Order: sequence, then C-alpha cells, then structure tokens
Amino acid sequence: MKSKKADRPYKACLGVLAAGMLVLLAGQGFLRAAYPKDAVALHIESGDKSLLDGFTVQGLWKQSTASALAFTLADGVLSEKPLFRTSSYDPLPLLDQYQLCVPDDVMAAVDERAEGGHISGSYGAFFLHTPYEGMQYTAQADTLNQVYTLMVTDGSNRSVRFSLGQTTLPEAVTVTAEVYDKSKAGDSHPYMLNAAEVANDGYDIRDVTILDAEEPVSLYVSPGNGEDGGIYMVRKFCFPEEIEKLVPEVDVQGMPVSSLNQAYGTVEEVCTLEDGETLVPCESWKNARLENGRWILTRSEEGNLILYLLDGEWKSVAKLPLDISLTAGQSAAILPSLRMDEIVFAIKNQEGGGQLIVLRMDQNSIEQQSCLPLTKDSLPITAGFSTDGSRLMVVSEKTERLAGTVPESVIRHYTGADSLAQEIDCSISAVTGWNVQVYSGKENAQPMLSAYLDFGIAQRWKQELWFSKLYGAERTIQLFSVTAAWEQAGEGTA
Amino acid sequence: MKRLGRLVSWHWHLVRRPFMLLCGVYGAQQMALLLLSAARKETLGMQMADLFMGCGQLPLFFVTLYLVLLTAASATRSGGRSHMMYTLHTMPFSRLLFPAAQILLSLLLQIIFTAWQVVLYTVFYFPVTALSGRVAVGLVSGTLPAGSLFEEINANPLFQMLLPVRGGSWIWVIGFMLLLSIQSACIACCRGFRRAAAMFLAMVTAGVGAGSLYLRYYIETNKAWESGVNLLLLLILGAAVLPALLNLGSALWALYRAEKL
Repeated sequence: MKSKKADRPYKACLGVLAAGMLVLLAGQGFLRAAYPKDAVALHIESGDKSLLDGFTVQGLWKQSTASALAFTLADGVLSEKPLFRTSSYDPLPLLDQYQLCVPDDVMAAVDERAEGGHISGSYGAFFLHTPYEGMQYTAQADTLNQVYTLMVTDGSNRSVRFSLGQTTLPEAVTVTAEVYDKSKAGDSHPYMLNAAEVANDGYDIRDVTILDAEEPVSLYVSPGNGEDGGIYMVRKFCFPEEIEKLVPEVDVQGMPVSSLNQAYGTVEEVCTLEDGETLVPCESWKNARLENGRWILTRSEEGNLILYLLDGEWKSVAKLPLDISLTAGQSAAILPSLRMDEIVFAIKNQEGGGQLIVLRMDQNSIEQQSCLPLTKDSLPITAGFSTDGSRLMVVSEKTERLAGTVPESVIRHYTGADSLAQEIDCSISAVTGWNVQVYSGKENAQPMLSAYLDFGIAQRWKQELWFSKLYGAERTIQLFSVTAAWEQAGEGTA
Repeated sequence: MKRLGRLVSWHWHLVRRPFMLLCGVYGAQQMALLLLSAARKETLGMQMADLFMGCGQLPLFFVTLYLVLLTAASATRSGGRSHMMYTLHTMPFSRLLFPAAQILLSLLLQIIFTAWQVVLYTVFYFPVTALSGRVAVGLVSGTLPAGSLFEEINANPLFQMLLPVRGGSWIWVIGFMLLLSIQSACIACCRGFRRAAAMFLAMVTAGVGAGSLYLRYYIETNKAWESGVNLLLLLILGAAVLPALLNLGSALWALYRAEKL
C-alpha cells in the first residue's frame, strides 16, 4: 500500500512567514544601507590634492521625488549618505496682489461717471459647471490708493493688507469694478486697477518684493511716493472671519461690495533704507544669511553697492559700503555659501559675464575680500575661502552635450500630433559634474588646483533629452544642488 | 494559542496551491507588461519605475492583493474539507477563534505577496533595463547608464508605500493590511448573498485603502499638508473603515446564528 507523505502545515506555514518577513526586512535594509557609495567620484586634473584641505563642500543629488543622496567633499575626502528628508527650508505658499484702488471717499464721484453693464459666463465643467451673472463697470480716475495684499494659500486663507500711500497720477487711468451674484461673490471688487498694468508707464508707484517666504514673512518695499524704501515684516495675518468684521462695504451702482482700502493684519518696518537707496535686483534672497542673521545688498543713487548686515529680525546691525558699482542692467545672484561667516554673490551683466565676490566676515566687518571676473557662459554655483583664508575655491557646473534623435512614433506618443513624419534631432546640455578650482588668495589669474566631481550621466537626463525637444524650450531640471552652510544645521538622515 | 496556530496552518495548507498559482500568474503578467513597455520606443528614456507606473502595474498590484484576500477566504470553502458551519458545530472551542485564524492567514498571505512583489521587481530589473538600454542604442549619443536598483526601488511609489523608510509610515501599511485581513475574515464567515455583499464591501475597502495609502505618500513627498488635503485623507480613510465595520457586524451575526443552530 502506498504510504502518504505526512504534511506538516504548521512548520510550512511558519517557514513561508519567515521567508516573507525576511524579504521585506531585506528590502528595508537595502534602502537604508545599499545606497551607491561611489556615485560621486573626485578627479584631480592638475595641482596637489592637499590644496583641498580646509574646504568643505556639501551637495545634494536629488534622485527621485522621495529620495536624495547627500555628498560631502571635506579636506579632499568624499563621503556620501542617503537623505530621506529634503531641505529644512519650508516657505509658505504666498500669493500677492498689488492694486491701485479708488479711495473710499471719492468712490461715489467715480461711481457716478461709470459706464458698464451686465456680464455672464460660467466656470467649472461637467457636474461642477456653475453659471454666474454680474455687472462690470469702468470709469476714469486719477487719485489712487496703492494697496498690497499678501495671501497664504495653504488652505487657511489668512492674509494681510496694507496701503503704500495715496498717489495722484498725471493723467486719469481706467479703473474697473465687478459685482457678481452669490456663485462668484468672492471675485467682486470696487473700482481698482492692477498695478502690473501700469508698471512700465513711468508713474511713481512703489514696488514690493518678497524677501523670504518662511515665517515670519519679510518684504522689501521700494522707495517712491516721497518715502524711503525699507524692509517690513508681517507680524500678523488675519483669518477670513476677522477680515469680514474689519472690512467695510462700499456701494458700486447701489450694490454693496467689500472695500479694498481697509488695511488689516500687522506689518512692521524693521529696516529703513536711507537716501533713496534701492535693493539690488536679485532672483532670490533665500541664501543671504550669516551665522547670526541676514544680509542684503543695496544700491545708492550713484550706483555704489552697500552691504547691510542685519540680525535675525532683519534689523540693521551694520552698513558697509563696498568698493563695487552696479550699472544699469546688471543684477546680483546670491550663491549658497560654504561657511556661516562668508558672503558669496555674483554681479551679472545683462549679456552674460560679470564678477564673483567672496567676503569673509569678522563680526561686523569684512576680514577678507576676493573678486573674480566671470566669463560669459559660466556662473559658479558656490565659492569660499579655506579655513585659514589662504586659498579660494570656486565650484561651477560641468556639462556635457547629449544628442539623439526622436523617432516619429515617440513624437506622436507624447504630443498626439501625427503630421510630423520625420525623426527630429535633439540635444541637451546635461550636468555631469562640478568643476572645482582652487586659487591662491592673493592673485587670481591661474587656478592652483583644477579638479572635478564626477556624477556620470544621471538616468533622468535620458528622458529630459526627449522632453526638451518635444516640449519646445529646453527645460531645466536641477538634479544636483549645493547645500548651503545655513541649511546643514536643520538636516539629518531619517 | 496552539489551536489558533493549528487552524491557521491547516487553512494555509488548504489555500497554498491556489495562492501559489495566483502569485505565478501575477509574476508572468508583470514580466510581460514590463518587457513589452520596455521594448517600445515610445517609452524610451523612462526608468524602470516610470515603466512600472506607466503600464498600470500599480493598480494591478492592489487588484491582485484583493484576489489574495479572496484566496485566503476560500479556505472555508474547499471541497468539503473545511465546511465552516459544520466545523463550527463540532469545534470544541470558541467560534471567535475562526475569524481570528482567518485574519492571521490573510495577513500571512499579504506579507508573502508583498515580499513576492519585491522579489519580482528585483529580478525583473535586470532584463527590463537591459532591454530598454538596447532600444536606446542608436537613438542617443554615448552610452547612458540605467538607474541603479537602489534608485529604481526608491523612485517607485509602490515601494515608497510598502517599504517606507520614514518613521511613522509603517503604521499606515500595517493598518492597511490589518483592515484588509479583517475584511477577508468577514468574507470567510458569511454565506450566501451576504458573502457576495461582504466581497463587494471588501473591494471598496481595498480600493479606497490603497487610495489613502497613495494620497499619504503623495502628501508626504510633496509636503502638501494642508487642511483641505487632510480632510480628504480623513474622508477616504473613513470610507475604507466603514465597510470593514459593516462587514464585521455581518460576520459576527453569521457566527452567532451558526451557534444558535
């Protein structure tokens, strides 16, 4: 008689459970430990490696939306670690509106002269399709109130509104009022004009720049309207319920609409720029930080640069005139610094080129200064002095031209167009590394050391090659970024 | 405890073949889909994680996970060897041991299935990247290396959800699996049209639960913690838990009725 093999389901059951758990744990371990330790390589082209002593460069390789590799070049030694948390910099999502509004006391007079009529339309689609009806009026006005509103669009809808003074324009401009029914009541407004519409017309209208969107939010207001420019801090945002109580209503053709002239929330001027000084045009002031505060660059009326050292509250601590002048069309770019006591920025010409300025600070004075001319196509991503201040390091991006062809089927797949029947040649400038150059602190003609950090061609450039061609202009993806000294404190691996 | 262990292992023994078959079919399906999309010129330049998402394998994983739940529940309907109502009468222990065993069995199958997905992805990484690399030759200048396995696993949202490295995210995966296990046990306890209703409610939990897992992953990676999004996450979570509660009531009632007979 054939004997049946005995089943031991209990053991088998535990066995598969153990195997399953083991695989999952191995996956976890893999993600935590098996990061590519040699993803970044250091190649020295000329010079002695010991010249890298005293420099620390930290960078981030963003590999996907969820993960990044942090690498450090310290004293010529490379190290890497995975980073599961991205930057600690957490700005508020802000939306600003700058409007020229008809003051409430002359509203009635403007309203009398207004012309306009009924408008209707709809928004949304399918079952969310909502029709709306309303009235739109236009009128001419020359006395306008400059009103700036800053909203936090993180779902809380808090905002702050303040006036930058009343101005009388040399000629009357067209202002518009809109009154809608309930379905679009939030879009109703009394007579006003967006400041952007007349920004280039040469009127004396002040300008507002958001300096830092991280809480507490700081703003720069340009001089104008007979007042000096300055830095303001938002001390209090108001929530919609508070605003409803504060803001009075005005009449537009007999219908009540919330006034735009009522200021709410609190802003405080923390730093005044004197003698008609203006803030230097710059894309972002995020990296303008020192160990105990911030700094800004202003331009005097004669065109000379002035460095303001500020404390953590943006209050002026010291004012240092720099031996550099800024001509029309030039702008500044603040670079992330490698040390907490250094200031790095570039002055860019309109047609490319310019100069790189590195300042080593000692309390409230400049201890060391270095100025490096820039060629047309290279803008460094960071720079800094060595610990003893004897050498200067400049890091810039190393790019490689990738070329390929986009087959017809790919074009059709992505764009849906079937008229293009030929292959298209495409190319992209991919960042494959960082050039590292060390100069002697004294004269900056020839680098003493020339090296580069090699990242290889990251996988994502492949896709970017197609996309750059398929979607018109060359998109820029930033896979590699310098971690500024001020950012390092708040970061850590998970 | 020993009884519970025996019950789980006996039920594992009953479902192991259909479960293995399901895993095998799933593996073959995934390989076919990944290789087919890697061979297309249209997907050129995409990394494996993109291919995985592009060919719709993410929803397919959760669909198959639902089939895994049904497989676990089928332990109580296996050719007369384990007729639940009959067994319940003759069992010398509490009826509640039955759903408890089913919950553990379902958890076990889900863990193995998830591990199987990790193994599949790791194994398929090699042929898929080799194939997409071959397609790229002649279309791109220079040799472009494929993303490393580490990069591919990291870039895949499914593994961001199933193998979360950030602290705290584990609770969501375990909670999700536990919820599905409860649903599976409820299917196993109900009979007749109630079983069909339980299967439907389990489907709702699986779909909505997967949605909440994805939403949480999205919120965390994009730092989109906003009051509106949080409310949406809460609503979705409620929609996943509510069917489980309904089913639990139905299953307990089925057990109570069986006891009365």
